[in-house]
Amino acid sequence: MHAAHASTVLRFAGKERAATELDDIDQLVHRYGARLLRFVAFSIGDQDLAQSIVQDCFMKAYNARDNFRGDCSVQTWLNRIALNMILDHQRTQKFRFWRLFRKTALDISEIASTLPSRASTPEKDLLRQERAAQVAKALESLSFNQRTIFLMHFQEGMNIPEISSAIDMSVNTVKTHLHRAVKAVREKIGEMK
Amino acid sequence: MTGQHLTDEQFTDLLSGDYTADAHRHMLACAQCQGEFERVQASIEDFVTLSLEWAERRASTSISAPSAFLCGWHSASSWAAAAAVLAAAILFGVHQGRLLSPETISVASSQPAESASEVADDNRLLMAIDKEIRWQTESPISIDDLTTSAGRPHAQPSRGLTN
Repeated sequence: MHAAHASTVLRFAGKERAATELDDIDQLVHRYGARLLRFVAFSIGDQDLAQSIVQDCFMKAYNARDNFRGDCSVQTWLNRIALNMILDHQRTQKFRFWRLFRKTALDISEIASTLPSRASTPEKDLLRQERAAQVAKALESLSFNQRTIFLMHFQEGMNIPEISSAIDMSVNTVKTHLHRAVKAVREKIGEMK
Repeated sequence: MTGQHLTDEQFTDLLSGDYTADAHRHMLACAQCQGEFERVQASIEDFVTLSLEWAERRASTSISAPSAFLCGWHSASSWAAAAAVLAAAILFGVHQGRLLSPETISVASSQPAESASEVADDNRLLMAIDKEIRWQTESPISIDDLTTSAGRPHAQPSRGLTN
């Protein structure tokens, strides 16, 4: 009884905190902008389109902040909005145009080479860049669902039930997509080693 | 496990940190599975870290503060509303003025004459532009091309017909 009461208070406190967080849109962008951009950019493989979607996503989230029930994290909620926007874009002619020309397509080798060194030696740095590039390259070969689920799980740290709820897909289907994605990434990394 | 090694599902579960004791025991005992697991895990970790570093750099320069946009949007919408009201008032005033003013008829009757002269001017301008464009499309051919084609026998274009 006491435990149940405590959890209600915590949940309520969490909701209250989230509601305040959502009210400050600049803070929201500051806190979640990079992660959301990463998720969207690697889901669709286009930097400029990703920026546009992320910008719209924050506007949408801010306008719909009263609908946030606090039953998931703000990050998960933002990912869900972004994913819906990606799906909307995929259905439009505009997205097909972007996909066709891909003038701002992600180039992981270029991205990695511009990063500042955090490893102790240039060799380690190079190894990290190569490994990251291998995964990014492998992601390109995945289906949209496999890629999104892989990113949600490994990049965003969402567990299977959270992903299932966010994308409205059964737990078993999510698991199957994840297994296939990991298998494909393993194979690609194996080919490239 | 297939044969002696981890299945794809077990491998994924190990990467996710949601594994059985059996699978974990095998991974610790099998150098091949352990090697592959460490390699894939390191690759994913590097991808996650580097992609975030990239996104942080990119987000700091590319995602503008939405509050400014919101303020801008609000002020823009109020300016647009004010402009619309002003335009409606001007149009209404002009319309009323036209109806009431006796000069409206003479202005209206002088319109065709002005238009005719304007049309003539426009035609002259268009012809000049047309001439200019025609001259420019001919210009890309170099003077050498012109001289060689001038020296070429006229019978040459019909070569295709004779073959």
